[in-house]
Amino acid sequence: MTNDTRAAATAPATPPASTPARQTQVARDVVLEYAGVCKTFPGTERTVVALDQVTLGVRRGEFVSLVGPSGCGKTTLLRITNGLETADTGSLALEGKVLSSGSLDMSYVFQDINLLPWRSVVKNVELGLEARGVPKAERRERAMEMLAMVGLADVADSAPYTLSGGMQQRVGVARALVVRPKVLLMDEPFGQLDNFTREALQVEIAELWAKLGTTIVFVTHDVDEAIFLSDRIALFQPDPGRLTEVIDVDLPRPRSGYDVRADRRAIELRAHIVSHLGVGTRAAR
Amino acid sequence: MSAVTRGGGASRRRVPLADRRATGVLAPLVAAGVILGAWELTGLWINRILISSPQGVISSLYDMARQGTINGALWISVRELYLGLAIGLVAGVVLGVLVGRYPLLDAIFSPFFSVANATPLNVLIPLLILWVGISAQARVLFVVLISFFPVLLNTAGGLRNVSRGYVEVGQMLGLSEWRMLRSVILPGAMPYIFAGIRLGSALGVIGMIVGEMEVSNVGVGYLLNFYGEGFQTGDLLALVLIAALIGVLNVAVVRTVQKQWFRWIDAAR
Repeated sequence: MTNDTRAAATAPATPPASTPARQTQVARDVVLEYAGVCKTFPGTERTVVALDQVTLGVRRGEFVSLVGPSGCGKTTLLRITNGLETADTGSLALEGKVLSSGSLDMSYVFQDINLLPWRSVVKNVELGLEARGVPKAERRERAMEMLAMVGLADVADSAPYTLSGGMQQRVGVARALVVRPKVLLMDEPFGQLDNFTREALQVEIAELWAKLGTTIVFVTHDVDEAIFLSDRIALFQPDPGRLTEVIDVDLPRPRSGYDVRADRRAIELRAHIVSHLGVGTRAAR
Repeated sequence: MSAVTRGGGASRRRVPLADRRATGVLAPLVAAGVILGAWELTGLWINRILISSPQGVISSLYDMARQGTINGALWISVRELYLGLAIGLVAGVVLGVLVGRYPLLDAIFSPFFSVANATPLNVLIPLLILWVGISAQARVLFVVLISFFPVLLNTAGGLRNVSRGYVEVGQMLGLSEWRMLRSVILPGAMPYIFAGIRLGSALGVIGMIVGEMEVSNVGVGYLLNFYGEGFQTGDLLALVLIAALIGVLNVAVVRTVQKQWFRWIDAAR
């Protein structure tokens, strides 16, 4: 529980020699902890068990991806984390404090972005600061600073619907990060973008994460995306939705300098993940 | 072939912007001219008492304006209309917000509102007369009643239909109820609220006319009755024209407000 774990987590670490899979590490400075989280959605046809006994600790400063095919509960877990859904049983703790309905210390990036069209770009970014009672001048300053960080300072006064999808999601990221969350939750944030934009944003989010040191929990069904970004990948399987394995991604950082898909170690990881998830993973894309 | 490369770049087939705008104005003007011309010709075989003529209507309008018969009536009508609309629209939006946002209030009031909305409201006119007499109050009240319900129901429906995604953005940012209402729910419901206001302000004109026909010896509605009974069809149609213009003006004002201050409503979809 020391403070220097941040540095350990974000510095380009040398890959450990041990096998990446099934590593059980001593939990150091766990910031977000799920214990036995269960969630079912009752339906008329049948009851869907979205999450069955999910237990996971996310370390401070870590980039964790939740990966799995559709219906495996990964998005549900993320929504529970921020209080957009409630767990049936089990608990969720942020820095040791059990949460019941979300927390101002976390924020969320949505797949469908949802910028408010009646607010300018910068006013969209300021909204979370308004909720936290930050004075007007400081609000503007912090929002502009954040927009500059995602490269959008020059469209601050534009209407959000005039921006491209990639720009809109950059604003979505700025809106979530401007409140300086302890944990950033990202729900397939690049899922609706074209390939080129998606790859550019993957690099940008990796850089932002390295710079700000924010803990990130990232939902995706894109295995390459998860390998490129993550320290660890939590693999989920559907029916019932459950966490089946957590693997370490022991690739050096920063990773934007080389093609993760061509890296030998990355290919091994990818093969492992794909075989673990089984057939259908590709189809889920 | 050569047409593509012909100099100046000004293609001969493309209609310049100014011309297209002119078409937008010209086409309805021409249509109106044809209709008015046809109307003028109907006088050849239809009794003027039944249909008058464009000329008759215009000369009626002119006479009314010159003799001042319309001025007093119009002033009374318009004053009652806008007083009634101001009360009806504000009350409709406020109550619509409460009913649309708070399920308890919805459960209490909505059955009543639904019944009232489905009732032809002129059945209440005798009651209004009983309460406040044949007076301006009765007519204003009737405008309020008739414009209130569409605004209320549209506003309430709008609040319930705000995109779930916007609401979740507010939730995830931790907005308080008041801030959520002000920054997310109300703006999100604005397209519906405007639809309600457009409807309400058009219906308000009906309320004004009906109110005056039933409950007064003043105003445009009363004059309509008066001219109708006197077979003064030209005057009658002049008043119809005036009433229509008031309605059109109302809708135009609402549209302009929406375009000016709520540009995103049209732009974002």
